[in-house]
Amino acid sequence: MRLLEVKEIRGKIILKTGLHIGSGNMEMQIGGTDNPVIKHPYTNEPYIPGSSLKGKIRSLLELYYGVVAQAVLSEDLRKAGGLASPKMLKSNFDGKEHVINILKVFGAGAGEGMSEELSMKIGPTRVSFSDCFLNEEFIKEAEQKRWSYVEVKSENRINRITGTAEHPRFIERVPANAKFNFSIYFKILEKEDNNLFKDYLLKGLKLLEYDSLGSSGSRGYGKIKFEIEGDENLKREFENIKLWG
Amino acid sequence: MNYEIKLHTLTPVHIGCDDSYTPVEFIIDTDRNTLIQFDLFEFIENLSPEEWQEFNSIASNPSPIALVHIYRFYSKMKGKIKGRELPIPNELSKRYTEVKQLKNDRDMLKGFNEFEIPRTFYNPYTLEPIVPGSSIKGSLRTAFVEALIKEHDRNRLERKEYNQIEEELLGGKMQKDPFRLLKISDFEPENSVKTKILYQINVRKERETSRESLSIPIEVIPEGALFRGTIKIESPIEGSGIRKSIEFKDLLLKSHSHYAKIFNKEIDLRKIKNFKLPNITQFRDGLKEKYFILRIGKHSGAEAVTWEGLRKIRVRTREGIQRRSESTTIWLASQEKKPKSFINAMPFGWVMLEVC
Repeated sequence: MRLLEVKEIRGKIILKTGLHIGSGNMEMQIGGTDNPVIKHPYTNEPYIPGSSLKGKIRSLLELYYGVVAQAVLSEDLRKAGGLASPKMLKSNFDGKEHVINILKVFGAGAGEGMSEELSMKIGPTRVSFSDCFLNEEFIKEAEQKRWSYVEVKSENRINRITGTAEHPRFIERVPANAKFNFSIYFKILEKEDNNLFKDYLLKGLKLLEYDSLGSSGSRGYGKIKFEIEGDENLKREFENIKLWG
Repeated sequence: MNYEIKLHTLTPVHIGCDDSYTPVEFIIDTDRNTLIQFDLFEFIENLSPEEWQEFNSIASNPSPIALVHIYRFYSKMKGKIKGRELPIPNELSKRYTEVKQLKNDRDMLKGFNEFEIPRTFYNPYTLEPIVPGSSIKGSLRTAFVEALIKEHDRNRLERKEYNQIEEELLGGKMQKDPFRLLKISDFEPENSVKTKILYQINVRKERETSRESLSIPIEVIPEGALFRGTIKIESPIEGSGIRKSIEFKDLLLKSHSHYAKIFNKEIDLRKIKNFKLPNITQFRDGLKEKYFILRIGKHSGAEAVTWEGLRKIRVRTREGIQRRSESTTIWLASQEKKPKSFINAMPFGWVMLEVC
């Protein structure tokens, strides 16, 4: 195993609907919303943490390749939440290669039952996601037009007996049409890794386009689109990915 | 599964967002019955030094009369003001002209409050309206649970709180709630959608008159607008604790049944009140197959957001507040503040979902 190549995917993430990646409530500001989005501490501009992208893509792939469906069959693994883990490889089932491949691409945590032998087989984590900051051109446009980088969405719950609104809440979102830069690096350590790049990383990005990023995806938030730049072939390949059928 | 959905507005729709057009950021072109929303900073940048001085001295006046002076100043600057245009009712134009002539402080504040116009939910970058997924999801949920209630012993449920009923019928709350698996995107305009301002008028179902004190202007997405979004339903994973599953067609049919019944009641009510309802013949052939009726947003009416059989709607009567199974008024979107007839006024919130 040696580093043969580092592939790069870069481009823009375009928000199709408002995005909320929460930051928790570290500071209470007067007049601030209860649910702020995560922002860079120096610039105070919202960003998308690489961990949010990575985690969501990994979990979608685990669902897509049936890893979760397999994990829930065992009491022990169910508690781990369906995460592809070295522990899973100890039992017998079809589709073990997906678990191995997910571990190769996304890595395994320490203390997840990784033997030395398995560790040698899997090797270093292939993918590396960067935090995604606002696109420079978008910042320029926003400054020129005096746009705020966040909107506040007010929501409530309707009591279906009395018809009255309850539990009002105010959630900060980055509005639809905002643009972030993204870059993802992928280490090719053996020839077969080229297939992992396509089947686990590109497909993962595509799965995310069909799902949502951040919170409240079930009620509209976080629909995104990846616009790959700088490599026309890769862009075409990504656009033509078929996930089903 | 991921479904592409179109949403056709059949009547005016308003989705509240706690934001409004404030009197200092728009001007009304009374000749064209148009509200022009402009960027205050851009406006100031384009003022000549003399105009800036005049504007500045008006703004330094702490008395409410400054508002009237600002309006007069804006009117003088009409040629310089460019921005987003929204059609408004003729009466609002007239009112604007009146407000510009006010002399008494109390009247002025009251007059300007009338021009605090609630906005429908929008994208702050494009300024185009959005129909949030949360609005559609909430409406579908109401209807779905109502259908489940009908399969159960209603008397037993009557003693419970609404969230207990939901929990029982859906087989759990939070992570066990099957609506977690239903993902509805925000809906964006298919082409450009132009909003407009209408009056919201409250009309008694039984008596002849509208409740005049409650005609307030409001921004709406007009009928005939088209939005697009997606609905995704995931299958529950074994061991997730989600017991009830949601099937796409079944969900839409249950929803259609809840809202069609309310729509039909409005057809009956129209015979008495003679307001306008949308013509849905273009959808008739595909109803319950491709097209499903739904009601969303403000003034959907208490019936649309509650469960038949269990609803206890708060109604103000001469005898005090009562809980009833039916509301006594309906809100209509009207071009006129106090219309003699409701022939051009429409109920709020009716939309048709189209499965593409």
